[in-house]
Amino acid sequence: MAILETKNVTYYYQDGDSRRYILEDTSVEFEKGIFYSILGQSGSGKTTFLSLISALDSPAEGEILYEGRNIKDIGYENFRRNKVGIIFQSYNLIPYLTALENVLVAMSVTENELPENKEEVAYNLLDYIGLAKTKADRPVTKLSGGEQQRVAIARALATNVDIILADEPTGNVDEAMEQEIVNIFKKLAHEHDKCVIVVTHSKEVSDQSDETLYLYKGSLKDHE
Amino acid sequence: MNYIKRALLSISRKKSKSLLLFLIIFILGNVMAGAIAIRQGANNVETNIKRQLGAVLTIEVDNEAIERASQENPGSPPEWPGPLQPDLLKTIGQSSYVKSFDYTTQFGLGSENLQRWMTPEEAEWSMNDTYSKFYGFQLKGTEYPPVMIIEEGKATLKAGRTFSQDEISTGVGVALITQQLADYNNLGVGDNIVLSNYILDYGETDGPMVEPTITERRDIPLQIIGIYENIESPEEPNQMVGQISKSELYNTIIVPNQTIIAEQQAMNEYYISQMEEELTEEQKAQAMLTYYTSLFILNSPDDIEAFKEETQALLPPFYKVFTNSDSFSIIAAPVQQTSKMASYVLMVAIGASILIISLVVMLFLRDRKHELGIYMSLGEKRSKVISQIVIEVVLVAILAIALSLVTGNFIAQGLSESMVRDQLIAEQDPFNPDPSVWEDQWRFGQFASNMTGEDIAENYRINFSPAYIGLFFIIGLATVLISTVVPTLYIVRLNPKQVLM
Repeated sequence: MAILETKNVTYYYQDGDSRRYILEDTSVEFEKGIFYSILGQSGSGKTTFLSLISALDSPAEGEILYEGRNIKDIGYENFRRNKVGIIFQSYNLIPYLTALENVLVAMSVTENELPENKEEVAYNLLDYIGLAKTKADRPVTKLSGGEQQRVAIARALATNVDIILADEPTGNVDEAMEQEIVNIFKKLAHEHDKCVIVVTHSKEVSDQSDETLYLYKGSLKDHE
Repeated sequence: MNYIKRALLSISRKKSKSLLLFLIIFILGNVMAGAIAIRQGANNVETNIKRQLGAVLTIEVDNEAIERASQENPGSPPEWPGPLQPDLLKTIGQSSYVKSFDYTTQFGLGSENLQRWMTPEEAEWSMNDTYSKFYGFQLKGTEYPPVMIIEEGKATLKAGRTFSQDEISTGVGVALITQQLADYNNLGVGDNIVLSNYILDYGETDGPMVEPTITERRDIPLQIIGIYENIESPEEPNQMVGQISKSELYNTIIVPNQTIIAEQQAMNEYYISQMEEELTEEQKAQAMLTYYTSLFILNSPDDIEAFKEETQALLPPFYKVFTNSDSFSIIAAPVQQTSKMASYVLMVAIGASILIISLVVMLFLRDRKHELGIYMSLGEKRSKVISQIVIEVVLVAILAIALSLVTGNFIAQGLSESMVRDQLIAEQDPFNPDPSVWEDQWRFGQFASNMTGEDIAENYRINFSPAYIGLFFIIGLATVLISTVVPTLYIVRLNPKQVLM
């Protein structure tokens, strides 16, 4: 059964009397244990699609279902808090907090069941993603782009959610780092049974994903 | 890492912004604290003075209202209202607000054998005074057996007793005299004195003034049943007790109203009989009416306004209720002006603070908009996002407000010193007091406030009362809360995508 599904999702911008459609009648299903990539040209609506399935925004028409239930009924805020982890291209970390504290923020927000020793779990998670304890205690502004992206990934994982959504996660990192991040996503999908959906324009990333979807003229199709 | 901890970390790690916010709130807080302190100082004066004065009221003709009515209708000026009669005064005195009441009539009498108390200077210039022998003593009536000035601590009973209800009702010849008059004439309780009501013929009133001839002398024998002494302030200057001369005060003899009314009527009857034109029965009845000065003491100064409202409804036109604290508003004008100005300053300061702090918070939030979007993208509740910002601003504000509470108070003290105290003391002239002081004296006698600018200045205190601290914190924090919540709400009402974009 699909963990996440879009049903006839339409999204448009109102421009005076006319509408500029970004997504039209898009229906797609995502399952656990699979690493998805969504490809598309700049401005094709990849990020909009991701913002809809991560409940950062709501569709104009259609519905998004989590385990068969409309996320609107779950509550967008509740859905973001307990069901998805989001990784942004620009990391979106809290600048005056350390790497560890950024992870702890997400852990304090979620209502999912987490171990008591949150700090230790956060250190281990950062270590697992490749950030040593010495760096975990540094303010995030003192870390490199790649390190900051690791923190963002650790934060997305820290809430023990089933779905990891990433918007151009390798956009600001070098090739070596890109590969490392892809490896993490593969591991999350295959070893931890997560549903990983990555929006990217990188062919290298999409080639390594289990399934690639292509967003073209407002429709999401299997890549051929 | 909940929102409270995040707020604390934000304050401690973004020191320059926290300091800037602190300074802005501190400066605005000083203006607000100063204005509140000045207002409270002025309110304290009013409360203290009114508590000291108690709640003493009287009912008199409202001259100003008659003047206004005359000006509005010059063709038919209003008739002077007749005196208030005992039935109405007793009805008013039954009010639940009233602790005790009295109404009194007065009459000047002379005496053949009783010596008027005089200072040596007075004795010298009054040797040739024709009238003082006819009116040397002031008879003051009462309907209140325990005697109001004794019961209310304006005088002490040195010997004997006060009146019985029976003596008051029948107007039997008994009297209370002052200790000074008793000593001057070597009198004691149980002694008898005789006062004389001289009915005089003044002759031709147009010609030069000549000594009047006595047409009738009515002797009033009185037995002294009590001797009292007025409470005087030790520093009273110029043989005065308040605005009353000592001789006037010491030569006052207290008797039942009925004793006086009998003499007033005898005199009135004589003068009516001497009139060339025959008066109608109604005019005669009018001429024989007794004029009373009433005095009502209320249970609490807080009841004054309610009593005034209740009483005014019972009064005939052109009568008004006066209190012994009415002159407060005239003497304390500089305080009230300053208080008024402080109120305006406070309102402007609150408005300016809301505007300035809102702008500062908005400026800070512009930098932090992205951060708020991150919290929202993580699913943090909007209420907690707002709470974090509110906690940050409020914690800084509490420190700034606490400090400005102290400094603002000092500023208010400095301002008050120059604006209020100096002005109050400079405006008072002991030899030419405000006319309201004389009016007070005439209306309330020993119950007059005798208030001076110095009394007001003495009571003008700016201090750290719990009310001041509480009010300042409430106003300060409410201002900060409004200034913070509104711009924060403006951001969090958006969806996270809009905030992060």
